[in-house]
Amino acid sequence: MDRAEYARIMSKYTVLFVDDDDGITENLARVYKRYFKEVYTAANGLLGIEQYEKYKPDLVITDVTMPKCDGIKMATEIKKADPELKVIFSSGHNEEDFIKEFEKFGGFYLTKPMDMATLLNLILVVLKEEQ
Amino acid sequence: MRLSVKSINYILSIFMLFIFGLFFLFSLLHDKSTIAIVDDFYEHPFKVSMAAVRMRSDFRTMWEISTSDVAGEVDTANTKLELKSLENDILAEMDVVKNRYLGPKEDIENVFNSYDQYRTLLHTAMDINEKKGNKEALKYLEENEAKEKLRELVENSSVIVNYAQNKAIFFRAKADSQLESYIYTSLVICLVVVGLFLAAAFFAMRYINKRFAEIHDALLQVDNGKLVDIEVRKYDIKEFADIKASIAQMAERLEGSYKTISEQAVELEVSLEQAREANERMMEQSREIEETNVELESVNEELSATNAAIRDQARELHESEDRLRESQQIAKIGSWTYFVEDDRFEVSDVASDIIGGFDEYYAAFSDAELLVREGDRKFFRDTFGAAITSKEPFYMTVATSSQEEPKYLSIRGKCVCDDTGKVASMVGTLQDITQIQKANELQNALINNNAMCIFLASQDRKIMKANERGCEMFGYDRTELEGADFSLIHTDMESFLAFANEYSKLRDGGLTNIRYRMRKKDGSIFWCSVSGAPLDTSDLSKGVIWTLLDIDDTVLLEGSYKDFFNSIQYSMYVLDLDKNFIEINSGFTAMHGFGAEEIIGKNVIEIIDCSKNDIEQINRYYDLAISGEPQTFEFWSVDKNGKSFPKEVSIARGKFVYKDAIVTIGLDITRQKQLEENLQTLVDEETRKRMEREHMLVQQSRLAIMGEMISNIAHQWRQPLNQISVLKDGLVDDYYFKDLNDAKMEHFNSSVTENLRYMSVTIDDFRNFFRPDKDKTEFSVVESINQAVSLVKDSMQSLDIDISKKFDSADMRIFGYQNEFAQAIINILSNARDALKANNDADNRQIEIGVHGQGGVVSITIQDNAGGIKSDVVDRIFDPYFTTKHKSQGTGLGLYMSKMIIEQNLGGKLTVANKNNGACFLIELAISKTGETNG
Repeated sequence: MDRAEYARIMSKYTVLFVDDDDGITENLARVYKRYFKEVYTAANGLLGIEQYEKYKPDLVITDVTMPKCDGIKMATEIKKADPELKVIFSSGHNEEDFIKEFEKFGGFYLTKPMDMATLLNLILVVLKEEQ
Repeated sequence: MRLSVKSINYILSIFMLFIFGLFFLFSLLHDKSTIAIVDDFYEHPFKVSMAAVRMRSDFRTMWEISTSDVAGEVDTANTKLELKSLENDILAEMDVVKNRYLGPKEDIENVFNSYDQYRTLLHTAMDINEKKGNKEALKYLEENEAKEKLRELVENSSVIVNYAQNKAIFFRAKADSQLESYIYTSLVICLVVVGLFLAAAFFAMRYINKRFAEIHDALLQVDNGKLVDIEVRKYDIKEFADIKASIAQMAERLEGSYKTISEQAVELEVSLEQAREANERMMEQSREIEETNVELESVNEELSATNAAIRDQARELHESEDRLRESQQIAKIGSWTYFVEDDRFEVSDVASDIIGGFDEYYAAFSDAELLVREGDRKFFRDTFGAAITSKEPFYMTVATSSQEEPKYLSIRGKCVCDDTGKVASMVGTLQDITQIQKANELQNALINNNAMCIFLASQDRKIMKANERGCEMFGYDRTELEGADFSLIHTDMESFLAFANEYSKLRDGGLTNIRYRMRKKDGSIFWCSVSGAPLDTSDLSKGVIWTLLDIDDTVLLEGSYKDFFNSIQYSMYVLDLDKNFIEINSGFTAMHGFGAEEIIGKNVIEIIDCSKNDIEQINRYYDLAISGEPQTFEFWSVDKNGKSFPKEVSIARGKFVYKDAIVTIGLDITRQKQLEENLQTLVDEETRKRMEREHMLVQQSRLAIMGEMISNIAHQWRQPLNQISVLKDGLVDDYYFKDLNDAKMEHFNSSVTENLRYMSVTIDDFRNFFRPDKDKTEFSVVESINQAVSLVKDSMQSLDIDISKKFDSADMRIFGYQNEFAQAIINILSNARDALKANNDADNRQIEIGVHGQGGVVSITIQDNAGGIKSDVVDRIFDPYFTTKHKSQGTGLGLYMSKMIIEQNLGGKLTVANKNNGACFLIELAISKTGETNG
């Protein structure tokens, strides 16, 4: 599947990237704008919850360790209001510590740095668009 | 000085008068001063206050008078008069107040002024009343506020009243207390005066008593018949009367005595007369006797003539004897004859000369005996008696009884028998042997008054003669010793027999100072120094002279010193000043193997190992010791077999047998040396082990730090890695979408380069940190702390830990290994991080680093807010391998390493205390001075 095909499928959806590294969210937004209908960003969990409530994105891709409110806390909080939440976790290291937590949200996760091809495939799986 | 009773009386009276005078004077003064006090301190203020009170009421009265007048109810003329007298009163009172008021002057002035105003007002009102009627007057008063003025006046005067009353009360109290103290003072003075008077009376009484006693004694003496010169004075009238009576009595007695003596004198006169008569009678008788005497003298002359005839006849016989006499005179040998029947001695002239006392040529045996010294008389008598009985010739030596200088006489005699065989007479010679005897006595004295015991021994070892000292020394009588076997004074038979050997040596001329033990009569044994000499070396049978000296004390002393010397386990020896051995003890022999005979006389070099010692140095020690400074030193000594061993000696100049010497005491220190060496080895071993252990700790700690740092590096690199990854994804994506252009490539290039540079810097920082410090340098504390913080900041950030810094100055520098210091800081920060992670919520994690310099010391505080260290572990947190964390997290070496670095390597201090809801680590270090960096 070439990139244009991914873009065609994913262009129906909106996505929220949550990462405390501004440089990363900025670059991710720039790259994934080509694929998604809309890309939203947030610098931490609290802002992520705000953005989610505001835009109700179809997918959340979030860092795990973040100041103030980490990815898992944020996901737990969002899921209380919206059980349909679709989320992919990305973690820098020690993801083993969180696997049990990830299970509660479908168990989708990637290790940083994320490989784009892998992420694109995973996004399709999560969005149940893989066929 | 003698005081008469009268003068005492005078003095007492004067004294009493003086006291009463004083008392009177005092009462006067007391009285007067009291009045003055009451007047000055009480009356005056009281008067003032009373005057002021009156004055104030007068003011009020003035108002009543004048206003009633103004109201027209009273006769004006009368009122004016009343007012006038009131004003006079007021003036008088004011005068009192003015003169005696003690308060401020302005009080008075105020009253005076308001009074003047008020008075003028009243007077004017009265005038108006007279001229224009009371209504106008009242109006005038009202207009000019007369009532106000009156109130003011009363108020002003009240000030004076109050002040004066207070003063009066104050002075009243003061006066009371003064009075009280005066009363007490006068009471005390009265008591003192009474006491003095009593004392004076007591002493006066005592003196009077003493005086009476003296007079009494004197009278007693007069009574005993002695005339005593006693002063009797007019005032002693009663005593004088007594004395007079006593003298009268005495005169009576004297008169009686005189009478008796007169009677006796008469009696004596009568007796004298009688005696004179008797004397005359006796003189008469004496004359008669004298006459008889003359007659007798004439008879005597006749007898003398007869006697001369007889003498002529005897002359011939005498001449024949002359020759014999002369020869006897030359030989100084006198002859004597004793006629037994007649009990009469006849002696020759020579004999008479010798004995001196025999002026008569004959004497009875009892007379002769008296010429002999008392001690020899019995012997003299017995010898004669024995000779008469035995008819044997005899010989004796006796001394004369002469007081000055006794002569020694040698008397020989034999019996001459008559026909019947009875001893008729005894004849003999008499010789003066005083000179010989004296020589003998001198010799005896020499022998007997000798400290030495002298024996004359026979060849068969019998004591022939012993001197007094000999008897005394052995405790025997001379009779017991002389003739006894020498075994008597030997300790036992064995010793006696052994001594026989000494006799054989005598032929060579004698023996000196053989030490032998001898026995006294009481059985005690003692040491003798024995010397012997034969009278004739060629013929021992002539006898041997032995002299013995009691040297028991000396031998004991010598022996005890010798024993003492030898009992000492140290090697002791004495060298002469040329360092030759004079004496050694058994300790020396034990140590070196040399016996006395082998070493004495040899040089000390014999026991010095020349191959191992600096001989010159040893000689210097000896030179110093000889010059009087005792020395102690170690050297290698050798024994007889050449075996070398370390020895310590103390040498000092001393004396030995009256000669200067070097006295040495020495100790074999082989064992000590070994112990020292062993100890050193042990210490070295322990030090090595300790250093190894510390090295290991440092290694372990460095490994732990390495792990920590790698984790930090991971944190530092995660962000740029992610960045690069995203950038790469973007680039690849752009490529796929054929959307690449110059601007995108440029952005990609610069962004990736930036991230790579950051990673490179980061890794350089860590590498620098891990590179061991080669040299100590002077470095900035603040810079170093910043470096440490930069290495851990990402790991801190990921845990939301906020690090704040409070630096007083950026210029404080210390001297040491910079990376070590940074490591110490990182370890403390890591500890804080772990504590915060365990105990705090992510939104409240703080670390504050403070740097503060004061007085050459920089204090670095690292404070967290993780709740502090629990009290049960606070003492152990710097111990190695101590950790409260799980094994995977902590090695327990971090804080231990920090402590080691700060305290051992940097010479500072690291302490911890709980404060501000957390642990506060305090590092104190000396700020370096420029000189140290270059040094």
